[in-house]
Amino acid sequence: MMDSPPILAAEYVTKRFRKDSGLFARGEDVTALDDVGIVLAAGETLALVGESGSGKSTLARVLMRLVRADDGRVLFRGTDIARLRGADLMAFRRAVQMVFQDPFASLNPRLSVGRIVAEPLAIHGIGDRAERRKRVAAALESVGLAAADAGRAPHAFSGGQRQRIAIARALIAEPEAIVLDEPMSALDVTVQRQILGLLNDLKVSHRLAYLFITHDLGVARALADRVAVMHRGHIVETGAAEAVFGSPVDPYTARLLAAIPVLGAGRRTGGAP
Amino acid sequence: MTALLSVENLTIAFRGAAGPAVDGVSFALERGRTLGLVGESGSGKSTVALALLRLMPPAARMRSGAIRFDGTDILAASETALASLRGRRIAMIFQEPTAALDPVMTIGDQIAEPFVIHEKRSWREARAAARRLLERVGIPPERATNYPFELSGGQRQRAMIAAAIALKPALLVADEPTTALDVTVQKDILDLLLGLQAEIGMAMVFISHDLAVVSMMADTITVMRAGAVVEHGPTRDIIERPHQPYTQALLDAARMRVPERMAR
Repeated sequence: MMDSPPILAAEYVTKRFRKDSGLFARGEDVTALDDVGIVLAAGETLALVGESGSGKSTLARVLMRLVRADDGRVLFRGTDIARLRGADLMAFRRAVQMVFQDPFASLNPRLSVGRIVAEPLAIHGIGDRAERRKRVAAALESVGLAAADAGRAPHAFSGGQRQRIAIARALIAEPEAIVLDEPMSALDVTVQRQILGLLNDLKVSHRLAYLFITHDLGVARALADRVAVMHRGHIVETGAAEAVFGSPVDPYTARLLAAIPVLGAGRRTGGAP
Repeated sequence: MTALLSVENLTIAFRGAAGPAVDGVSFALERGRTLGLVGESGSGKSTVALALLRLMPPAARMRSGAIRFDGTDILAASETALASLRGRRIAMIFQEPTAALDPVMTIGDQIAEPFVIHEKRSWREARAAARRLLERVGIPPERATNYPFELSGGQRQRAMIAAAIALKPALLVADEPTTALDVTVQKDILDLLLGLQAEIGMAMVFISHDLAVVSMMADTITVMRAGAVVEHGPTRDIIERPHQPYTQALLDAARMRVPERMAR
C-alpha cells in the first residue's frame, strides 16, 4: 500500500461557510469541516457516514474540487488538487467521477440517455463517433440497461434506472474512483438493494475505489471496507467496517448504531423497545 | 369487540390515471392498538391515510368502499360532523411538519388552537395547556412564542405531535412521521409516540416505507403495493413468516439496513 500514493487524501481540511445575515438571523460562520483527514486507497470502498449537517457532502465537494477548502489540502495521487492545471486537472477530473443523490436533478432532461452517458467522452476527447457509441452501449449494459436505451430520454426511466444511467456516465471514462453522495437515498428500499448489488459487482469488475457517502449505516456495512463517521464537521471514528460496527469506540458512533430501527425489536413482538 | 376504525373494500381512483390508486383495501383497528401500513412509493398508503379523514385531493374519486370510525360513516358524514371529528377524535401528523404547521403563527398558539376551536376554551387557558404539552413532548415551554422556522426539524415534528394529541384523540394517523429525520432523532420521536399512546390510549395508523420502523410500532401490519393489500397479519407473523415474496423483499431490504452485529 505504501509504494503508491492513495488516489485521494484530505489533510487537515477546514471549510467555513458564512451564514447570510438576513432579516432575522445574525451573520455568523459555520464550520462545516474542522481539521478533517481522510484517505482513499486504490480499489477500496470507504463509507463516510453521518447525519444531516455533519459535513459529509461538503467533504465530498472539497475532494472533487467543487469548493475550495479554507485550510488544509486535498491530494490526488500525492499532488495538491488546488495546483492542478491543464492536462493534469483533466486527468484528475477523469479519474475521479461523482454520482449524486437525486437522479431526477442530475440528468439533463433535454438530452438523450446516450448523449448524457457519452458526455465525459466528449469532454475528454475520447474516441470517434463509432467508438463512443460502442462505449455507451457497453456502459449501459454494465449497469443492467440495454444499448437501445441510449436513444430514449431520461424521463422515460424510473428513479432506480436513472441512477443506473448516472452510474454509467460515471463509469464510461474508466475512472479509478467514484464519489457517491447518498446515491440510494431517493430510491425505494427494494430498488436500493438492486443498486447496492450493482455497485458491489462494478467495484470488482472495474477495480474501482468508492467514497460512499451515506446516512444509512446498514448500507455502509454492506458495501464498505472501511468506515469514517462524521459528526459536526469532525471525523469522530475511522476504521475497518467490522471494527467500527462491531465495537464502536466513539460514543456518537455507538448512539448512531443504537438508533437504527431493527425488525421485530418493538415491545409488540417481544423484543426490547 | 367492535373495531374503532374499519375500512372495507376502499377503492379510489385519480382522474386521468390508468388504474386505481387504492384498490379494494380493507382493514380494521381496535381501540388503543396500532396498525402499520407499509409500502413503497405509489403503493397508495398516503391516499388511504387522507381518506381516513376524508381529505382526498380534488382529482381523487371514491369508487367504492366504506370507512367507519366509532359509529360514524366517514364517507357519508356531513362536513359539520367531519369538522368536529378532525383534530379532536382523529388527528393526523405528516412527514413534513414544515408543510403542516402555519409559518406565521407561534407554535404555542398552534397547539392551543384545538382547545379554542373544539372546546371553546379561552386563549389564556389554551396557551397554558399548550405550554404543558410542549413540555410533555420535550420542547422547553418558553419556546411557545417561537415560530416554526426557529425550531429544528425534530422539534417541529414534536410541536406537530403536541398539536395532534392536544385533545387526546381516539385515533392518530401518522404518515411517515420520521422519514425526514435523522436516525437518532427518529428514535426519540418513535419513543415519544409510544409513550403518548400508552398515556392517552389512542389507536394509531402508522404509515411508513420502512418495515423495520413499522415493526417497532405496530401490532398488525398491512403491506400495500400498487394500491392493493399484499398481505396482512400480526407483526410477528409478518416479519417471521411472510407469505408473499414482496413482503420478503421488503424484509430483506430492512435487514440490509442493519449492520450485521445487530441483525436478527
